[in-house]
Amino acid sequence: MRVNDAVSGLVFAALGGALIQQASRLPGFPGQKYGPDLFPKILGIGLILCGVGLIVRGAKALTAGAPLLVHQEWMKETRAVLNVFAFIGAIVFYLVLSEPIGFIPVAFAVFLGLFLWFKVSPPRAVVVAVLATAGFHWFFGSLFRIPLPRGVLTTIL
Amino acid sequence: MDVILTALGLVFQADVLLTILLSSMFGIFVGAMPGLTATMATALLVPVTFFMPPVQALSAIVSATTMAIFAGDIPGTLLRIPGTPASAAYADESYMMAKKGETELNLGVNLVFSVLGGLVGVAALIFMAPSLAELAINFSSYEYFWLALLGLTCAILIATEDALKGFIALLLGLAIGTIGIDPAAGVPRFTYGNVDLLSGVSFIPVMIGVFAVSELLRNAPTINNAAHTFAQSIGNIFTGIADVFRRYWVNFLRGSILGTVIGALPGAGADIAAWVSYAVSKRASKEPEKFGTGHIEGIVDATSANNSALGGAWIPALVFGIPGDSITAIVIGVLYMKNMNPGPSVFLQNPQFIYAVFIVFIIANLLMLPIGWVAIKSAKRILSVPRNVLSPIILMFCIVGSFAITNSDYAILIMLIGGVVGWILEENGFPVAPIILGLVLGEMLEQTFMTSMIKSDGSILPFVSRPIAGILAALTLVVWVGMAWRMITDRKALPGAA
Amino acid sequence: MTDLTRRGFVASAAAAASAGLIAKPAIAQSAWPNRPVTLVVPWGAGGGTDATARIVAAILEKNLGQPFNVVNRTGGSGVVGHSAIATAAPDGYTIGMVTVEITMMHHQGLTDLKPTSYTPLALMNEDPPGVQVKADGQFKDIKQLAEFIKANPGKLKASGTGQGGIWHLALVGWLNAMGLKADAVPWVPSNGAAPAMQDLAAGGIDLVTCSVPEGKAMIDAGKAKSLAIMAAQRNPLFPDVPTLNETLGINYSVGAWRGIAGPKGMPADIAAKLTAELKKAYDSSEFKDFMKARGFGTVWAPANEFADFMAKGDASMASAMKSAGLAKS
Repeated sequence: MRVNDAVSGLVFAALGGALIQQASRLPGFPGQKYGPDLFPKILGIGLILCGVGLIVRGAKALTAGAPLLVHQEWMKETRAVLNVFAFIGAIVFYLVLSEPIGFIPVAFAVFLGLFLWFKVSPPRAVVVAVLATAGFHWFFGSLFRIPLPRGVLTTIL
Repeated sequence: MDVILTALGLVFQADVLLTILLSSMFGIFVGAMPGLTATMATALLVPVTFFMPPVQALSAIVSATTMAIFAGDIPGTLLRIPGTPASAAYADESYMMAKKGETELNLGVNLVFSVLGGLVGVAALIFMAPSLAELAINFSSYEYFWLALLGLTCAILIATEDALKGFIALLLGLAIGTIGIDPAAGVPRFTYGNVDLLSGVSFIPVMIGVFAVSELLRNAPTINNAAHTFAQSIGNIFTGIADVFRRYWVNFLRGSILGTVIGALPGAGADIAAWVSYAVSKRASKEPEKFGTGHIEGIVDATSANNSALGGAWIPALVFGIPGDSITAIVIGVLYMKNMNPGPSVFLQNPQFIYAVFIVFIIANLLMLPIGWVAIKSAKRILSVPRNVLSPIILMFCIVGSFAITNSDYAILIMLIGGVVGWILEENGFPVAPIILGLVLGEMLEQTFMTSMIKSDGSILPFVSRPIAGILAALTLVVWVGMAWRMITDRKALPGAA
Repeated sequence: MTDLTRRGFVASAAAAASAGLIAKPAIAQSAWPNRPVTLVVPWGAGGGTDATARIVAAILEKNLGQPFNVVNRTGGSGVVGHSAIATAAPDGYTIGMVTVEITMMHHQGLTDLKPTSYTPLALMNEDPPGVQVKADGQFKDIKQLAEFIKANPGKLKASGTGQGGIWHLALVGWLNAMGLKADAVPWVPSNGAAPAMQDLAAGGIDLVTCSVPEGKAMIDAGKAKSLAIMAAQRNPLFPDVPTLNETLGINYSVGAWRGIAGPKGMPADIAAKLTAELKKAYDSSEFKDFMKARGFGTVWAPANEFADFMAKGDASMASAMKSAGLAKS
């Protein structure tokens, strides 16, 4: 989805404004001329200036007949859109469940779910999901000692 | 001469050579995995080195880190996932080359110039350590302020088509960097009582998000299309390297020297070296318009620079015990443990150990050629995996790699947000690399400015009156005027360009 | 492996999952440790705390036969890691290295965590601050430096850690003991002792009040020198550096310490076993040699003494930070 520059300009200018507003609530630095609010305020001003620049540019394009919003071809296809959300959904699924349930079952579910959604043949999907889960757990968890969540398997592993 | 012979004797022993080989393979793995950095590889080696004699312990670290910095280029080229932060500066450019069918040339250049750059860094370490360290030690916050500003200027220089959007991306990165405890007054900023936000936003999960996750999202709609694999197979990677060298030997020298010097500065390592040398390359190039379209020139500079920075970082570490980067911070600890206390006297008390380290550095860099070649060859297998199988695995690498940075879900959340936002931004013509640069350098810029103002009681005079600071200030001014000039002339050439 | 059958494992896991936390400690206690233990470090890889934690973990791992994984949870001036230790399950499988900041952060209003939020296990290290100046600078000894500060308040700048950090407090405490105000030597926040020592050598600041081992590299390189340490007696590793008491007659001492603790409410038997194992690690030659090589001081206090030590430290920090204007309330 490509929006006109005026829209993104507006977003960034607003972000700059919010930054300045939030920064002005920060406490000062006793005994010093400048405090923790200085830097965010400078950045906020920069964002507003650049945002205005984009708005001007976008407005010119609009008057020249450019559309406000351009949809890509794929966005008309439900399946393609759902593919994008499959990835985002998989990350959210992992985020929510990995801590209570543990890395191994959740990673396996993520693999299997995505493989099947992307039309990998079921037997192959199961085999690769098992191997990949085991591989990740061995490589990151055992070899590199990254504390992957243990979840319900706490007492077994 | 006797010392060098003794050192050779220390290195050329079966167990030391085996350590070098094993650590090299370990380093290649770590470097190629997103989220696992060369620093992390070093930290993991520390408990192992507790029980090793000094030369063996240091060999392990030297070889692992040397390989890791190169190996980060491989997933950068093939999948647009920089394996380590040091490859982030040119991951996009490399990926463009791969898309154009120049995977072999790109990986060949990355490998060969990593080796050559690494050797330049080692040469500097051997021959110029004391004098370079003497220079680096005179840098105070005033000098670092200008360096940070120059580094940020790089973002505008590398922003390919649209300087305004590049600048916005940079400001966005800087703004994200202000989250957390502020570097001067120590008060929480934009944290809203959240413990995770208190630690700020780590740039590695952001990097994985904006580069790798956004790429997955972009490719998701077409995942089941006819082209089932990501890229073509890899042929001979050494074809055409000689031509590249003949054409770009100046770039190689410039990148290596710049990398060594930046590496030698405390607090700036291989990642910043790659950014800066890539930007310098574009600025000095005769064909800057080709940058960002899959052009080898800037990669020669940057891939030489990040490996030379590794050797450079050992200079202040050995001579003054000041870490040149986070890897050498750990190395210093190991040196102390092995009773090789860093400082000028280390060259007098234990010269044979120091020479042994130099020799290992050279061996490791040479060993990178065959090991790197094998690694690239095996990466070919990965590419032959269908996209619908490979993509979920890449996603898991992103998730676990981000998790490894903070050891908590917080980094995965950052990665997710980075991925979605990065994807939307790129769709709308905003470059994402400046976001990373802003995150890397933002704190340095703010901290050096604030502390300099405290030191000078609010006067800005020392920013220009100290000799080195003055030179850097003048340099910054020249670059800015040059940029402004270019913008004005460009605008004249292209009226109404939008 | 224990003598439980595989079926038993699965059954108890299912029980633990369904019955929540009730079943877990019972199994965990049977033969602690029967799975890997996590040692949380609130500071980054490469620092002194990380190095100390890694040697302790390596020794515990060797003696107990289970992996002790060092996990760095950095950021937020130590808040993130300390909170990770405090909020972990108190089953003995997550412990951590707590540092002096735990007696300071809550006074600054950064967190609610305080020493009593933990099960103390052992104190292992303490380092007093020193006063470091440039080697070729104008100050030859601590008396001359003190006189200069009294005559020219606000002229010199000091550094060594972030705003309100332990070394900042050390400076303020010393100035107060001399009858001066905190702003007699303004504090320049830094990212730790090493950058501060480098800035000292570069001429950016005038004195650094970090611990002597942290300044050792620069001192050995001939770029800096240590004028005094703020401790009751001299450090045997740096016998030439006098104490404040013998030079200025000021009896002020404050130190940065590191100890091991677990989340509040750990089973008493596991805590006792850990303290015993830590004592073994503390007495081992590996630990002693390592600490000596780095120049770190070693101090031992078992669980109950460690708790008293932290309570005392917390009270003195409260008053010190209040007088320095660093405490929130």
